[in-house]
Amino acid sequence: MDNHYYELGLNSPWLNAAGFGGYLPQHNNDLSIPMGGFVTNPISLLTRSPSLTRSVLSHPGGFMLHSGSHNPGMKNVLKTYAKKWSNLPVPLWVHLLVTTPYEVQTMIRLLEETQSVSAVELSLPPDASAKSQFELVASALGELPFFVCVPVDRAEPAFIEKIASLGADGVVISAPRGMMMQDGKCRQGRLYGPSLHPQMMAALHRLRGLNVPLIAGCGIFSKAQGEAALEVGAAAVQVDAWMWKF
Amino acid sequence: MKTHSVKINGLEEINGEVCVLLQTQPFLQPIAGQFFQAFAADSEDLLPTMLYPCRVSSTELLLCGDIPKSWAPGTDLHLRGPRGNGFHLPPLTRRVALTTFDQCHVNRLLALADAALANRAEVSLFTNQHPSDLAPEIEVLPLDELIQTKDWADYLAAVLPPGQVKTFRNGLQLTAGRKTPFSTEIMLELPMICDESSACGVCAVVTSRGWRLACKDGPVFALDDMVSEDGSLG
Repeated sequence: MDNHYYELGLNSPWLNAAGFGGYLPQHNNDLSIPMGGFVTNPISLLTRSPSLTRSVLSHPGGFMLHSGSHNPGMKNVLKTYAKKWSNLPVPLWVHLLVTTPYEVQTMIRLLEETQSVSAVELSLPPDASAKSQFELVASALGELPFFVCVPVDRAEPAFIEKIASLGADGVVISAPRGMMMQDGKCRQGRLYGPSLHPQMMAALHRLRGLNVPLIAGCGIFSKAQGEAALEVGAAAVQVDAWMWKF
Repeated sequence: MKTHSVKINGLEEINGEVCVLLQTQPFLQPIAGQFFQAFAADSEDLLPTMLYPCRVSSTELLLCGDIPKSWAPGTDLHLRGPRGNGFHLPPLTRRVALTTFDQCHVNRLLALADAALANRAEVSLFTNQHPSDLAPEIEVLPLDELIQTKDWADYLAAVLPPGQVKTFRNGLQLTAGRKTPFSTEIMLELPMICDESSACGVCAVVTSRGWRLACKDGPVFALDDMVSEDGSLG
C-alpha cells in the first residue's frame, strides 16, 4: 500500500508526539524541520491531576518521565482552545486518554462537532487486557480518522493487524514504559531518548508489509533518524523530547 | 519563549559550588528566584541544566546550578529564560530572613540577599553550614533559631526541595491553612525540563488555588498558597 504522509492528510511527514507540544503549536519551534501536523497533549474526558509520584529520571540512553498526563479535561480544553484550533496552519490531531468505550465515544462526538480536528490519536491503558484494548479501538470508529498508539515493545504484527481490522487508520509506534529505582523506590514512566531508535527501526522493519500506515513515534532525535524511519517504511515520524532541545 | 546564545566568560566557585559567569545582556536580566534552562551548544544532553541567578550586576551575571563538568570558559550556551516567577521582596522590608533548611544550596538565595541589602534591609541567613562567600552584612545564624524569626522578620524566603514544605512549616510552628504572620515565600527546587507550552507536568505543585506548574507559575510560591498533603510536593 501507499505509505506516505499525504495519505494521512499531513503537510509533511513530521509531527510532534503527544505531550511535547501542549495544546497549540508554537511559532518559535527551534527545530529546523517543517511540521506537517500538530498532536495535542493527552486529553481525558474528565480533569486529571498530576501523579503524586511524578518524576523525571535520567539514564545513559535518555530519561524516564512520569507525570500522570494531567490535563483539564475535554470540555475545558475545548472551551479554551476550540476557537484557536480553527485557525491552525497544519492539520490537528487530538490525543485522547481513554479507559472505557463510553469515554472514547463521548470525546470523539465532542471533537466531531468542532470541525477543526483532522484526526484522533488513542492512548490505550497499559494495564488493560488485549480484549479491553480492542473494545476501546472498536469504539473509536466514527467520522474522524483515528490512530492508535502502541508502545514499541508491544508492536507485534498480530496485534497491529487486529487494530487495523477494527478500523484504525494507522498505528503510532510510541514510547515504551520502563522502571527505575529512585531513593530505594521503584518508579515507572515512559522512556524517551535516542537509545530507542534501534528498537523503533526494528519494529518498523518487523511490521513492514502490513496493510496499515505506521508512524514512528519515539527514538527520533535528528533529521537523519527521522529520514531513516521513513526509509524503513514509516509514513510519518513523531518527535518527542527532541522538541525540547534548543 | 526565545532562546539566546551566550558564551561562558568564566567559572567561579562560590560557597563550594561551581557557578557560571556570563556577560550581562539586555535579555539576561533575571530577578532572584527566576531560572534559565541551558544546553551547551552541540551537547547530546536531553534535559536542560537549570541555572539560577546568584549575582546580578550591570556587567556580569553569575548563575548557579548543577553545572556539567564539560562546561568551561568559552563554551557556547543556549539559554532559555529568564523564566518563572521570582521572589517578591516588598520594597519597604527591613528585616529579611533566608534559609534553605540546609536542603538546597545557599547560592540560590544570594541574589535575593543582594536585592534586600540594596534596599537597606538587614539580612539573616539561617544555616548550620559555614558559607564563606557571603556579603559581610549578612548575619549567619543557626537553623534552630529560625523559629525566632516570627518575632522580628518582615519577610522570610526559603529554597526547598520537593516534600519539605511541611517540615519547614513545622520548624516554624506554623499551621497549614492559617495565614503566616509575615510574608513568606518558598522557592521549590524541582526539575523543570520542558518548554512552558508543553506543560509536561513533572514540576506540578498543589496549591490552595489548585495545581500549578513551577516552571510557569513558580518556582517561587507564597507559603500561604502551599498545601501540604501526604505524597504531594507540598
